[in-house]
Amino acid sequence: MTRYLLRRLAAVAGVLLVICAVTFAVFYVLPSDPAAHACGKTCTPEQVTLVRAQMGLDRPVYEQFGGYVTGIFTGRVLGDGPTALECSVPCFGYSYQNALPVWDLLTDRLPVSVSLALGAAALWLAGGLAVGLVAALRRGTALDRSLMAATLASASAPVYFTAMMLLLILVQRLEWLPYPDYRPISEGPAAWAGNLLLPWMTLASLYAAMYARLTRASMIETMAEPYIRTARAKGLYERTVVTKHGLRSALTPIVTIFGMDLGGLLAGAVITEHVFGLPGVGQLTYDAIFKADQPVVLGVTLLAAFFITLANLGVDLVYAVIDPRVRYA
Amino acid sequence: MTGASPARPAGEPGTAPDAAPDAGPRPAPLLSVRDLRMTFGKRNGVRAVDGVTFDVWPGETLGLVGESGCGKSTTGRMIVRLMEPTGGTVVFAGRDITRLGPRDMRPFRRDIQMIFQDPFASLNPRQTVERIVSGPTRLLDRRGVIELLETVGLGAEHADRYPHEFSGGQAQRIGIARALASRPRLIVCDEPVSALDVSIQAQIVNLLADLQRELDLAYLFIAHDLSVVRHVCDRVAVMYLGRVVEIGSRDAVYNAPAHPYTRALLSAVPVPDPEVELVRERIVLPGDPPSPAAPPPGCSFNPRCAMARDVCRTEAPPLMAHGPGERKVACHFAG
Amino acid sequence: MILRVRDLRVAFPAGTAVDGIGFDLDRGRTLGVVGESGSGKSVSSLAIMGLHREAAVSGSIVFDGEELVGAPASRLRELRGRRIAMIFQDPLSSLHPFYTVGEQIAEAYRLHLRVSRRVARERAVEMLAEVGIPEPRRRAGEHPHRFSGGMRQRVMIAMALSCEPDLLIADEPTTALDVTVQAQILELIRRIQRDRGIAVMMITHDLGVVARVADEVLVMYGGRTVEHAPVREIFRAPRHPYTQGLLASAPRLPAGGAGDSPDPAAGSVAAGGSPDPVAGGVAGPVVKGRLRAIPGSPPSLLAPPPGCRFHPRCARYAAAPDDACVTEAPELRELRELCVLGEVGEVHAGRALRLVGAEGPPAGPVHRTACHLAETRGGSR
Ligand SMILES: Nc1ncnc2c1ncn2[C@@H]1O[C@H](COP(=O)(O)OP(=O)(O)OP(=O)(O)O)[C@@H](O)[C@H]1O
Ligand SMILES: Nc1ncnc2c1ncn2[C@@H]1O[C@H](COP(=O)(O)OP(=O)(O)O)[C@@H](O)[C@H]1O
Ligand code: SF4
Ligand code: SF4
Ligand SMILES: [Mg+2]
Ligand SMILES: [Mg+2]
Repeated sequence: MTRYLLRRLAAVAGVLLVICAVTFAVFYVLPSDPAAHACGKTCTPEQVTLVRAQMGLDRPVYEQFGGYVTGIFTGRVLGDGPTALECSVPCFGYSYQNALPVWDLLTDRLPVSVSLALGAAALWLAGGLAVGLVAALRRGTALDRSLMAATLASASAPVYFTAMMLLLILVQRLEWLPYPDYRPISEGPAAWAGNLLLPWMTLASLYAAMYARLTRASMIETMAEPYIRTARAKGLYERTVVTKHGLRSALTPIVTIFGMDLGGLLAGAVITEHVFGLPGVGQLTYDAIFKADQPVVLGVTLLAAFFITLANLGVDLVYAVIDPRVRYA
Repeated sequence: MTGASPARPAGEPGTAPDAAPDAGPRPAPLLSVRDLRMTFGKRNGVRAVDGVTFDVWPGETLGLVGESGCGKSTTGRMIVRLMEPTGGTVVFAGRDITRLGPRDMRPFRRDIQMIFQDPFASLNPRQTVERIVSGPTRLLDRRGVIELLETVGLGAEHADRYPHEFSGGQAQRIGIARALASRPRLIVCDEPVSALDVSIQAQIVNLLADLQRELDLAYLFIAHDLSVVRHVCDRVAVMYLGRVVEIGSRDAVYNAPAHPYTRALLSAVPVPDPEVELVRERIVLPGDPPSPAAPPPGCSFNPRCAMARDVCRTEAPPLMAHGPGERKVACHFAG
Repeated sequence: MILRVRDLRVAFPAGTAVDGIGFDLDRGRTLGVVGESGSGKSVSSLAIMGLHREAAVSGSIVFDGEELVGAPASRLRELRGRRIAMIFQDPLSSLHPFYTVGEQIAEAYRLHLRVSRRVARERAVEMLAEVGIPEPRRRAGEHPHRFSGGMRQRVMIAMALSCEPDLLIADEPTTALDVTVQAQILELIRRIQRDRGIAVMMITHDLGVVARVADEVLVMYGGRTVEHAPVREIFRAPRHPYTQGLLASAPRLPAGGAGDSPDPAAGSVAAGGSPDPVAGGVAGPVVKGRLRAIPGSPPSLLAPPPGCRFHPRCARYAAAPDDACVTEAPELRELRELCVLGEVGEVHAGRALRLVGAEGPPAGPVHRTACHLAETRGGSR
């Protein structure tokens, strides 16, 4: 088991390295000049050259890449002379935009995105599983059909639209909720949750719809398995048959997808954060891409990749717990 | 490894590991399989087929029987080259085809065809029967296809339909028509009737028998149902755990089985006659067939064999001639 | 009498899968149910278990004096697993992959007998030992995928028998198994039946299995009973053209001891005393490999043929067409022997028919068949 875990972690590191290299390569071939951006509109060509040298952009790409990667583990000094910048471990560089360490930017923003993702995930799991389960057990009835129609509508509505509708109804018309304004959980869970409820609902409505459909399909398939017939033939209560024998198997494929979805969202829900003006990683990504702020984009890409590969590992471990066939293999 | 060199397939009497039964002059075998091996996986591999040797003569049917997982299908697949053997040779009509490249193999692909157990899984659901039968290389025109469909008991009206519109028995007929399209000389039938109902099974068995007579086909008939095999085969090879343990004429094997496993296998088959069942001696083998990943040392049948002695646990018995005729048995105490 | 089924019908929205079957079953006895796939064997057995959810079940199923058709679902649940148990064709997919076999066996025992987890667990180990699993205590803690096919079916049997049921329904329990393992499982079922005196309903398409284990046989075709008789009668004197065809088309081994005929098809027809070209098809010289096939294929549930469902394939009808075969479904009638003069093979001449109908009470083991032309054959020999 330990060996397996180590091997998997090594693989995670490898994947991160590759993603880092690819992102680097992409920026290298892009025609934008970060030095010009960073220097500002009034810079003379000489100044730009100076800035470029300080940012290390005049060096060959593999050197830049090597410096970047070692910097993460050992820290490094950017540029030299009086303008040299000390960048401490873990060093992901400085933003071209506002000269702040990327690491600090990320750690500032991360709690917002994590709050958003975890709350939304809880909501959509509860909602999606419940709706999917009911629809599967009432398969073919009017209830099933209307639930599925609703999920289809909900899944195909753009996030902008859902967000606007929720704002309009819950905030402006009914005034049940405040306009979202992020409060850290340290200011009290009520304020935290109250302000995040609207973004949570927006994000969850999209995912819940997908999960409901997924749960329904998976549950219908499982309930047709011969072992379900065996469970019934043993005289078990239908309740036991559905939960202990049916649901447990039906959830296995959902675990995989949940891992991926959550992993992706932890590193920022770009549109949702943008719509509600939440200062999360998604928002940061959005700005960084527009301004070609390479260190920041690189940072968030790595962060996203980190979460996704980690989530994958988590999924596999959970799998081994629920499905003994995997455990022995 | 037997000494048979691929260049000189065992044709002459005496050198043939599987000589003709009536000692009379017999044509050379159509198919000679020598020490065929298939090991899956590199480290501690599964020896699915572990040195199989037999011949099939033109126009005859050789039955290949044995329990699930003993390597029957794998053997069949290697003969049609759906799988590359990890050892041994396959000689067809005097030519070693074991290592032929795709180009040189092409004419042999027409000569050796295969019919599968699941009639539907082996037919492309998106192609019409005409397309399926005429094959990817369009061997036949429409008239040829219709003629062939009539040969297998279907009609022109079926040519434009899709596989899902047919019953299992009809689908198997389509599979047979497809196999016949290239005018093969040998058909490897992998459990061709196992998935069919008894009454339909008989129809397909009859069809195969008629085709054999009319077209002078040879069959390698793979099956686990010993009753069916008794009906369709001239000779029978019994496999256990990747090896042939007994091979001989049908009557010799069925009427006087010499290997303890063959005896147990035959006695286990239920006979549709309650009075016979009542008085019949039955050998119920203990345990399950062992896994080919970890075969027992010595004779691989020894853990289940009532006759096993010490030598059985250390030495694997070779396949050796037993009594008169062509019978061969792999048992230290064959009787 | 533990089970009494009368005029059982099971209708799915798409069509009627079982159309009026009936039989009696005593403790300690085995009823063999044979038929091709789709003839309604599994549907009938699931009806007895009360496991149909989308189908309308009508008729009467009396289990130990209690009517099950129309009984409340909760009552059926109490009986399932406790007094009526079932095993299935594919033992791997019939066991839950995520729970150990011990847990799965203990589950029903614990529920029905209201015992503690520990007691149920002990019972599971005991049952595994009884069905011949070596090292039962250790194996109880393993998951089904670690067992071979035969051992999984043993586990299913252990599970089915843990609550000491009165009736065991076995739906093709050995179809997925090798012959040597099939022999073990059939032996096991037989031993357990003898030890506990339970009634067994053995569903199969293999006539050999029926011959080995059954006391009585019910032959099904297109959702109906075509013949029902003691096992010897079915094999020695089949009266329905379908049964005859089935027996003639089944290849067989040399009958070991009893005079072996080189052409088994001819052998069985001779045994059946049926001179008509029943199994149709192609008489004539016996060629290697030829079997007496029944032409055509089984009827579809959606559009069953009118009248007798077998008529499109029936050689007796083809030989002497009778309008009744096409317009009227033949009723199941009793073949009563009025005077028994010789041994089984010779009595046909002395047979007469008495109409009892599908509802009729079959008193003792009788020979019943559903064919309009059953009597036309009687004296033809
Ligand atoms: N692709 C493969 N990789 C690994 N093992 C394999 C593979 N194909 C077959 N085997 C193993 O090889 C052995 C022989 O398989 P094969 O399919 O030839 O058996 P068979 O005699 O045809 O059995 P059946 O009667 O079930 O069809 C089995 O143990 C099987 O698990
Ligand atoms: N759930 C179902 N819905 C509709 N038709 C069914 C269902 N289950 C079985 N049938 C049909 O009922 C007929 C009898 O099936 P079954 O009893 O399973 O046959 P078998 O005799 O092979 O066990 C078949 O035509 C089958 O397609
Ligand atoms: S060699 Fe020995 S163990 Fe093998 S079959 Fe013969 S007697 Fe049995
Ligand atoms: S009723 Fe007619 S069609 Fe049906 S089995 Fe009898 S003879 Fe054949
Ligand atoms: Mg196979
Ligand atoms: Mg069935």
